[in-house]
Amino acid sequence: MRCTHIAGRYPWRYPNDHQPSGTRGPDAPLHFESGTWGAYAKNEGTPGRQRVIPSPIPLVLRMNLTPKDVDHVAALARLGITPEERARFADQLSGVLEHFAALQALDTSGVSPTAQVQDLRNVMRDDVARPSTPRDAILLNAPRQEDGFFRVQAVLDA
Amino acid sequence: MSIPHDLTSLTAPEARDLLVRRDISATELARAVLDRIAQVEPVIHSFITVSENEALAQAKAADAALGAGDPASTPELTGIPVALKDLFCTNGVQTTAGSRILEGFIPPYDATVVARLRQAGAVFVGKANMDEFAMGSSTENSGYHVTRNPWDPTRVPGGSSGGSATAVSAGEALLSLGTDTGGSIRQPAALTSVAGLKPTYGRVSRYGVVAFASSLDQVGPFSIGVEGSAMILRAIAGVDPLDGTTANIEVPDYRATIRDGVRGLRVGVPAEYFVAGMEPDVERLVRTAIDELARLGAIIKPVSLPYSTHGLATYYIIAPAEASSNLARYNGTRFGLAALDEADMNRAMDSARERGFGAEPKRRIMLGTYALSSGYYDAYYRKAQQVRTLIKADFDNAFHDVDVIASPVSPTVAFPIGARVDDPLAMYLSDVCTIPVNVAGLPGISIPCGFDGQGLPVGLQLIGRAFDEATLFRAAWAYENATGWHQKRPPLTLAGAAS
Repeated sequence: MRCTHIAGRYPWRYPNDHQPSGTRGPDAPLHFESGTWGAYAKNEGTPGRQRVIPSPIPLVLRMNLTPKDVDHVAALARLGITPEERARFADQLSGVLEHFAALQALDTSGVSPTAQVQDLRNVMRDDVARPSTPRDAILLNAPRQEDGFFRVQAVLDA
Repeated sequence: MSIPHDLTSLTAPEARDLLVRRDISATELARAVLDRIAQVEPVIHSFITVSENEALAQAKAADAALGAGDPASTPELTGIPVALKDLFCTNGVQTTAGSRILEGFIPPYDATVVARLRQAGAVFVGKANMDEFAMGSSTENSGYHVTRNPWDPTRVPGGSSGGSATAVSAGEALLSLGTDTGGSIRQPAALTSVAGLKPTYGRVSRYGVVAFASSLDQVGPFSIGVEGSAMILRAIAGVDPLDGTTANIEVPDYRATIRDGVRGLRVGVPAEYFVAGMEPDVERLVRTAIDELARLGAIIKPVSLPYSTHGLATYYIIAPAEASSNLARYNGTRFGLAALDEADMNRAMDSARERGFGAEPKRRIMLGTYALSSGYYDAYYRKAQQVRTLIKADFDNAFHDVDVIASPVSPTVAFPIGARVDDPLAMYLSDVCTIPVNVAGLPGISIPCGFDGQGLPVGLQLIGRAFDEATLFRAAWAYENATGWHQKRPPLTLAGAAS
């Protein structure tokens, strides 16, 4: 695994005496080579979330993305990337993920997640019809239109 | 006050006084600002679109309103020139979010904040440059051009609301609006020596604002002197039926209490925010500013925000995850860049997004999609949301003992153009002191607190309790009134600067 010494590359880091307990110190190396997702989940007591789409990325919490991983994620995001971006992103995103690895060492057992900070429940309005933006005004920005609809390429085979 | 030779040197409250007294007209003021734009844009590049005709028409309407009855009864922003970050939808005026994928997009409606500013009589001078989709800390990620810092045009103005900051700093508008998801108002405010406020999450409507990370995005103002920000915040804040996250909490008259001083105000200083590697001049000036608050009667106390040290990692999971979802709509079907040459629907979408998005939105979409992908959701996104709870709890605890928290805004002054573009992590670290405030949803303000050895501006950040912007304005006004740092304007020696 590629393991750049973040603290050496970047001048910013937190003072040693203010590093929260349970996290790596700013100069300690990252240790994730042998940590698998399964082991991690077991330690945390949180069951791995199951999804039906199989991922070609092995379930190992590793910090380097290969160009093949980049292809997979780009396909999930419907994002075309150039061959040059494919290689560059693999390198740059690996660096960013390494930096995030410190989070994994934090003990968050029993901590509920915060999706957004306000204590809001569903905000509903009265179910009453009201005027909307005229169709013609919306279609002014359409790349292609036909008979008052957006025109797109065929989705299904003819 | 007397009428200055250069109307663009007026603060918004000064201009309001002169307009109400009919000492100047809105048209004269708009003309002065548009002339200033013509003069400095070849160097600074604050704008993507300058709306000269609209501005002059709005100024004419403002003059009619000011002449129709008691000028003091007109809305407070009548005739005040305002720049808008180019992600606020403006009916009939191109809105790009700094991205080529939205080039030519003409919104058929106004964002709520734009509609409210129209109601308040503001004059829109143009749409300000920004990092693409508000992703960046330098405005170098704009799909259009790089904006330059008026204090040194070889350096960045900060970002992502860089154009909104430089427009005010260089006198191309008296007020402006930006957005702040991780520091995108406060950091460019600090780097260009203007006031910049990120209000509480839920204070200002985001309806019609191009979305980046919906649990963090917030709209806020820039001004010379904080009182201008107080004026414009009052005009735009408050509940909006079109944005379910806006809070139904009364919007106070911020100007009514802004001169009340800081005697007895408890100011917390978190050691964690004075990160190692911070530039010595930045630390010295911020600590001097805190001493000045003490001299003015504030009580300084140490506070601890240990989980803020994980703010950056938390943010760079949550924000890209939400961005990867928000940016899914840009696929060339209903608006924006389309790949009409592709016969296959999926390939057309891939291709439109490949051509339309720049490198940073692509990186964030990739990061976010990865963090949300099968098997990684709990390890990344859920984990980050748990740490978010801990970061917020630290602030809640600290605000039992203090009323305001003071810290640096950015660990460094403005950096040279190009210095961090190929190193995303170095760029992300620009926002290490501002990001935890967004993660906790709190209000934060950046105000000028001096200049380093090279003459580059440094900002002081004040963080407040949720929905307590009034106290931030009060503390900021007391500080700037005592020090006068906000009155220093960039020299703008236009000759010799590269354009």
